[in-house]
Amino acid sequence: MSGVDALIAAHDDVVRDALRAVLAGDPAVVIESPPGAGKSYLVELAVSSAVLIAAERAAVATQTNSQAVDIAHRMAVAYPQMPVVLLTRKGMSTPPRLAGLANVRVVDAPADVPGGPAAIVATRAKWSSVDPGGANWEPVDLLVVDEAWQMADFAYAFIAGLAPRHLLVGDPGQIPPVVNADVRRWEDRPDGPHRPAPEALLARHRDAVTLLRLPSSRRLGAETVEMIQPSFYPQLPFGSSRPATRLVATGSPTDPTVDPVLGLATSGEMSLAVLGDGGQVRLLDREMADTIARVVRGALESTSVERGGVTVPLTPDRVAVVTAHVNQTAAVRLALSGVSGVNVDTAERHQGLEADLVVVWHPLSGRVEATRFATEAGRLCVMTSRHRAACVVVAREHVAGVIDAGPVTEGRTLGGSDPSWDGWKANDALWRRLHDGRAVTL
Amino acid sequence: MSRALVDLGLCLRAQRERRPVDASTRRLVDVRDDALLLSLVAMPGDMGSMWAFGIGTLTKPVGTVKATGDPRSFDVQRRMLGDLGVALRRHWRTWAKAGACPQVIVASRSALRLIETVVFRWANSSDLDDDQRKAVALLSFVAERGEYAGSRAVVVCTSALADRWAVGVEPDDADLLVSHLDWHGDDGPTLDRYDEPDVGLSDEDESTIVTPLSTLMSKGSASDSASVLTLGLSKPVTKVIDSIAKIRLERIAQAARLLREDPAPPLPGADDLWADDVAEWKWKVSGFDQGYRLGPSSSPKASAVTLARREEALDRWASLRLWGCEIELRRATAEGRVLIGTIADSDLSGVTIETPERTLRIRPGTELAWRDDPRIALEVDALIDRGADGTVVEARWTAGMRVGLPAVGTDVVFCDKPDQPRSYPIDRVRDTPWTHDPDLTPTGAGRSVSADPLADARALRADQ
Repeated sequence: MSGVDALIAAHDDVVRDALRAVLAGDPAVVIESPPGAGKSYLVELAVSSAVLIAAERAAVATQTNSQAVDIAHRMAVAYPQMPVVLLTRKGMSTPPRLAGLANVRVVDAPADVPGGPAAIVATRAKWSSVDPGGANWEPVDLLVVDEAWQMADFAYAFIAGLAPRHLLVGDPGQIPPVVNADVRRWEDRPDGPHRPAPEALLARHRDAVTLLRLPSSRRLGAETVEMIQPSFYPQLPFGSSRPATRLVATGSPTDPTVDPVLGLATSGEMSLAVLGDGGQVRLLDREMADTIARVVRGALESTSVERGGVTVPLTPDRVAVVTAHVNQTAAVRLALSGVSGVNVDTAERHQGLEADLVVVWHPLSGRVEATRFATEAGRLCVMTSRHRAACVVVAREHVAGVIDAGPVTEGRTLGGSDPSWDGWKANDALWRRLHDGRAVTL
Repeated sequence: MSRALVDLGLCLRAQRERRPVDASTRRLVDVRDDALLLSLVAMPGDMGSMWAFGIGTLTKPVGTVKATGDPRSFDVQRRMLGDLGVALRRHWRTWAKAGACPQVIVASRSALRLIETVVFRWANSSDLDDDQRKAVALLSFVAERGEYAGSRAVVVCTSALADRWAVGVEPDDADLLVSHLDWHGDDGPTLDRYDEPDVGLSDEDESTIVTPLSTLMSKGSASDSASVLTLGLSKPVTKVIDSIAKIRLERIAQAARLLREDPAPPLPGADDLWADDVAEWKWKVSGFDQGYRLGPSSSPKASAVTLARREEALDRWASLRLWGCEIELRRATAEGRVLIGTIADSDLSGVTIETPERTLRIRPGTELAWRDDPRIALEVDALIDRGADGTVVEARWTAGMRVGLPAVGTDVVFCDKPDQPRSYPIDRVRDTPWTHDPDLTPTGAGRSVSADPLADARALRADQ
């Protein structure tokens, strides 16, 4: 058995264990998943097993409306024999993707959810308005939380009473939940209400939780895994089970200045393009935006994607640009005028998405110090783990100095975790790995 | 551009004009006649020990002031709390009679931190008398409500002044009340004699007090490392700290008067946030009457509810300010959260809006309401980037089709819908789920499962 086959077999074993735990009635199952490990597929398998094999009612909680529609659609198509209910906010019309599916029902009131075995999908906000003891509500047996690391524990508390058994699936390396209120009171508590729900649950009930870790990524290649796993997932070892995929050169870009970058991008999965800064440091940096646009244009002109021996042209819809700030997004979009279809957005908006080529605006570019936001490990992790074939990180040369200066000391709590240090460490590790052998200066 | 740039612009304008300028077009706090001014004094690094407290009212800012030269024994701290409780007796009766909650005015966020620390130190103490418990109950209420955006029960002067007026205060000084007061040209107490920065008692006193203390210490011993206590200077130190508390109360009173006399129209719609203040106080008093512990519960469920309510208050307050204040609208616009443009096309099902903006946080699925008539709402379907010409936003009408939609050519402003319903109804956690009860340990059902549940699940898939 090859290494990849062994990894796929090990991955299947973990999925099998997860389904076994769910069907056996374990109180809670937490699945830690690296990027691109097939979380959605696992959720589909678990929900369909509960509904179609154990004849149970399963509630699926997502973080956003679009995730709810997406997962309802995927389950309805994969399991036409399974009743799927989408519980929406008041007055929301049926999403066009679900309109023609016979096994899907879209309702906006809990009282309208039919009884009997079914997969019932809603956002966590909607679920928090459902009274599990309400007169017109038939209880559910299993609560499945998708992208569970994006949900804070306080929000989990409001939906945890929906079902006696829980399955929480997510990526622990992503951007943590957004909490705007003051949380100093709980900073030193591993089960604080601001922590990701799975972490808080494990801190409180480690003995009652079946914790499983998916061991492979089907999106990221071996070279990427080697780069990001030690930086962002020190507690979650994983490998790559992705079919051979790479960016290949099929011509020359009109703009020869980006040739060295594209040469590096076609010779490996991850690369760093360093742009001189001439002593100027600015957050909104039009030259950075122009450089990123030139890299994208050059890649579209002169590269293709080779996957499993088949070569397909690199089209704009296969390219993404990830930034840390909305104004950087706007600057890149402006620089890319005339090229439509490239998904340019912030890391937050890119969570859960993927593309063949991803170009990253390094979050420390334009920063004079390594602030918590700029070094947030989850943000850089999202940025550098969306690509199927290649990732090009574009950074100003001053970034090296900012990293060398160390993290800022803001907001450290005695006895609590230290996101500033963790983020700086992850940034430093990734920067060194990229800089030593995978970098080119523009 | 971000909201921080709007605020920087306001700050620069204040610097140029050498006067405070509006940071809000609305009055954001209402200072009541019966508002209580409160100041606690502590030493840096020793936040849990109260060296002095002072309470007063708008008409008599320096009411009761008690100070000590050495609060480090529990007995002294208890006595300080008891004195505070005695000073609160009359107010307590007034609040009970009126069925109202207190309104407490404190100087700054640092003051709030100190109050919180005192609460954490004493809330679980079982041997407090009635007066001491009253003091802890009030401080606990202040510490908690002070974290609720829009609360009227607690007014933090530095925050309230900064929310209403932009001044040229350096970021490092933003939490110092005296920095704000200087800009408002008050003719308050003369602070010159306390002008030399040295060790300080807290951030707030950095530039005010301390010469007397250092003078006392240098007189008392050749060794400047000795503590105030061992120098035997308890009495003169008490005197100095007493004067600190008085000055602080006077400053708080000045700030309160500025806020009270603010001629701007009040921000509408915050009644439910203030009703929360009253409900919280009633709950606090009920716990007090029944002899319960007075501090915040640290159980997972209580923590979750507290944080959820803080988040709700923030969302609600932000929404009220966005809908009620033109400067807040400018901030939201700078952040890309507001759609300002012209209706290019519209029928009963959908609308196309052209905006010159390019930096937008609005995405497909975002729901927005028309600022002229929030009954009319839309949901964004697509955003088309037109480069330097801005953005075209395509959307579906979701509400108000019978009200009268804005016509083609109308200049419109759409922003987040107001009055969001509460996301976290508290009664949903009346029964604590096992996940949030550390004392409950559920066990698995131990049901028998097929040898290969993965194969079973895959076999059910249509794509197999």
